[in-house]
Amino acid sequence: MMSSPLGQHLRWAKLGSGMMRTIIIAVLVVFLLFPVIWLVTTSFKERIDVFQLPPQWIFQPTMSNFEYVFDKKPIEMWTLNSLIISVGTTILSLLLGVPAAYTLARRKFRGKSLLITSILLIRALPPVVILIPFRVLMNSVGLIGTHTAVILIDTIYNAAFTVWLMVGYFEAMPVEIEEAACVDGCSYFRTFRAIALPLATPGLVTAALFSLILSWNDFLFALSLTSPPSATLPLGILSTFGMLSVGWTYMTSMCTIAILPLLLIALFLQKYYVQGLTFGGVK
Amino acid sequence: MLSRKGIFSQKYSLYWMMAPLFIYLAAFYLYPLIYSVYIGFYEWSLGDATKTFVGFRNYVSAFQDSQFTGSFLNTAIFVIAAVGIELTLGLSLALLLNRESWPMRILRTVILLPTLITPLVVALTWKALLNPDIGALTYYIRAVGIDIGRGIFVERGLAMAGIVLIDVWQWTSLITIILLAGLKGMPIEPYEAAYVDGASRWQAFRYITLPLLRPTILIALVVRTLDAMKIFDSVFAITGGGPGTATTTMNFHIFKVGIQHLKVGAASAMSNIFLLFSVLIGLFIIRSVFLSARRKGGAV
Amino acid sequence: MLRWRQLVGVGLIAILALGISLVGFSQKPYEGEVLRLASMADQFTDYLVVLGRQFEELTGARVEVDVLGYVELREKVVLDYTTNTKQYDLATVDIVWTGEFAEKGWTTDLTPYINRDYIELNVPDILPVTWTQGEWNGKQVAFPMAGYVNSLIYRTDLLGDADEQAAFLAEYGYELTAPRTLDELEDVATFFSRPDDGMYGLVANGARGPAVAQDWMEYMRGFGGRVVDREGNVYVDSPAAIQALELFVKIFDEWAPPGAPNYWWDDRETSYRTGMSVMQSSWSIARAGYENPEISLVVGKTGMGITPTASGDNPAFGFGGWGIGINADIDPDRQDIAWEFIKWIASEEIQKEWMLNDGAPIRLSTLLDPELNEAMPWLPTMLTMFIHGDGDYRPRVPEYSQIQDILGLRVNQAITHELTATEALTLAAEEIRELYAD
Repeated sequence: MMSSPLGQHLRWAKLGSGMMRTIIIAVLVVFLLFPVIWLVTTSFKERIDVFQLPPQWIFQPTMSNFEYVFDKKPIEMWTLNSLIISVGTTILSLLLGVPAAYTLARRKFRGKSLLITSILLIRALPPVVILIPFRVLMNSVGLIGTHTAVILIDTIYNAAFTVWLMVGYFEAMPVEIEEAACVDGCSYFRTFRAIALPLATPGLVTAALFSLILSWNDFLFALSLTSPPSATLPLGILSTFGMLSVGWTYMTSMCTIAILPLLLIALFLQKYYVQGLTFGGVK
Repeated sequence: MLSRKGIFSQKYSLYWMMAPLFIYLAAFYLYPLIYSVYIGFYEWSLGDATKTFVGFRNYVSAFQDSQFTGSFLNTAIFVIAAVGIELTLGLSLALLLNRESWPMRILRTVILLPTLITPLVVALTWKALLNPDIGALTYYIRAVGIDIGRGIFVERGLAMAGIVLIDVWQWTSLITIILLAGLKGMPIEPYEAAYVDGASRWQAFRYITLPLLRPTILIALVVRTLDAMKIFDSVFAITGGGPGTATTTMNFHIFKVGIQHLKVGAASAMSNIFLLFSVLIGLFIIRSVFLSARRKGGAV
Repeated sequence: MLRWRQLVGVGLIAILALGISLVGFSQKPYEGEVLRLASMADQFTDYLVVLGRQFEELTGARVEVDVLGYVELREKVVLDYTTNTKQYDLATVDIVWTGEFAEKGWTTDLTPYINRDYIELNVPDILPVTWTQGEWNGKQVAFPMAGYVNSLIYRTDLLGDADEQAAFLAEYGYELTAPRTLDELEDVATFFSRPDDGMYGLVANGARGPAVAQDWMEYMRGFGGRVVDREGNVYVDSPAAIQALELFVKIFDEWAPPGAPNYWWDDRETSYRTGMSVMQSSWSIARAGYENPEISLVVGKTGMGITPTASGDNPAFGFGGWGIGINADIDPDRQDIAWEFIKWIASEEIQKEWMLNDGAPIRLSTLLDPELNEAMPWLPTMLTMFIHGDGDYRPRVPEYSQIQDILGLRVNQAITHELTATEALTLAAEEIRELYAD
């Protein structure tokens, strides 16, 4: 091993262009993609071939796993539920988080940094802590087992992230644009809605994407708060896991199905989100 | 509309723009939190009709529970290793991918793939890949002659490294994306000036890129640290906290006490300690963000 | 003779039961009702889903089955019961949850129903050991649904091979057969451990948690040990238990595949089904899978034998599996419908049908059925095991989940040589006593 990983990077940067760079990117990408490739290829394998050694990468693919999960599992319902919950969470997080973030970015008041810090620290909350009281609360208002219950708890984490992200984004936006556009004096809300928001589109897209990813993947909350008709894809994926015989091929084929929508969304939004994370940091 | 003068005026905007968020947080976040603090003072198993007030006894027991105190250390080791490696790798990858060409654009999305998979499924996938006898990755690791003893999750000295590996795999690209954005937002002028003065690439990186990127790095650090402290899925699905107690992390231990053994009072006390600890670490890192931001005059 | 007469009797009762149910169900009395059942994801589950739908055709009440992994199932139903959310009307209940569910009153006592429908259910046909799925201090908080027995699973092609037998005789001085005593088990395991050929003599679960705890308890039973009794006396540090742990450690040191200390159930099964391991102690529910070429490389090569005991005498078989219970919080009317479902899936007819579709037996008639015996020649062995089944080798006490957790850590520490067998069990005994002292 070389002295320090950072040192390594610097040496790479110096070598710079061409071969070296390509090789390093290739190695990292292989590391990041290898398990995904295993997952996707396994979903096209016969059950008996999953653990063949040496591992098989080229083989006669079968669709039987996909047929099984579409035939035996309510995968359309799970996908729809996952979509409802993650889109609902995203919309709610943005509705709650973005106006607050704009105000936190544009207004000065005492205790502002403390406030932003506390919002960010919501992310530190261990899920197990709030699970039980939250469930009792949802039950008492009759929301247990509904999509809404999961949306409400996912939004706690996602709204916090949205605020954090958007405060940085709004702060990085020059205030002069808003002032210039409203020489004749717009209302505060109008400035926010008609001028700041459109300019902040990349930031909004990024916040939305992160929120989608987080709630699309949520397992623990969905497990504790949904009922069978509102169950999500991750729960479905896990239900292929028998104790004695794991349905590896079924699990991976459902997982392949579950990745696709998000991957498409991410590809579609890619021009926004790298730009969108250009924030100014917490002030 | 009364918007100019009344309650919706700019003067009060502070309140009504933020009110929905804070009402929401008060109802759904503060309530469970306060409940958790309250129940931490009681001996109560889920399903029992009566709660017994025991003062700080749950807290005292938590510190006497060697598995809990051990999990403290395990979590700390995990967080430092995982977040450290993720930052280093993430920064390298961000610098390498910070170019505008179509392969780079595609790669920037493709590397997001690990973050698009449910963590529990990620854990199970790695469990299969690293199965000590028939895992595909174990096969290649042994094929290139690396000694992993009886298997990564069998050896007490390697199990935590395996958990770190999985976390690094899943979250490095998130850091890369955050840092890439930071790099995109950087002004070009300092570099032009530096190269005119004959600075090397390394000098440019050391004296321009790193300082300018520092706040972004620290923010990536806060978010990842807070998330990493909650490490649960891979421990739950692969090692069960073992071998022995080698991979017992705080969140896993609390889950066991609270959800599996139903001792909600004891679990709440533990998670309150855990939360306090997380908040302190988060505050510590955020303080560094503030300090550095102030020193640089609030530069990005 | 006896068998013939039994069959006639069983047949008559079945026809009678069917008649009654047809009359009873003819108007679809529960039209539009939906019952929710939380079920463990196991081999029997796919057909349980089908049964849930069939029940609607018969009665109008649909039973929606929510398939969940072990930990998820427990978390969901326990949260449901404790926060009174009535999400599930029915749930599969692991035999080891019996004491806890009964003491907390989470699932309803089925005794009145069973007494009422005694004839219709043909209760004497239900094997006595299966009642341990739910019996607690005179209550029956779950109804037997899927019975599993633990037995020694071994490769008949290897143990029956003439060359192997000759070599074994030369080395150990006695005939190679399926081991009956633990000493024989050691010999056979040693004989077939050939790591260079990728062959391992004996495999068990080693992963910390329920996996290692439950597999160890099966060996402990073979030594005549026990963990606790219902009065709260702790025996887990007895000489028999320590001996059992020493043997258990040896499995991982000498006979099992290197990765076994991290094995969960599915890993252990995979290692047997792929031909890596020659012997294992396993649940009967997995038996049909060895003959399924979709998941098994050892089709037609499996024997099911008596689990060895220290002396070879008084063999008993670890019994487990799943009962089905009714949520105590739901309305009596719904409980009645839920009971109709239980009664229906526990009937001889459905039990047979289920058995043909990866089910697990609870009835004598199922195990004696000629058609089933044709398809599954191992059923007579299974019947013997059911008759000598022991449903209490894992203590079904309310404290089970914590006891299992303690053992899950300490036994794992023994097999990874962090502690010696004596140290591990002394600590475990201390911790379990503390549990009872609270």
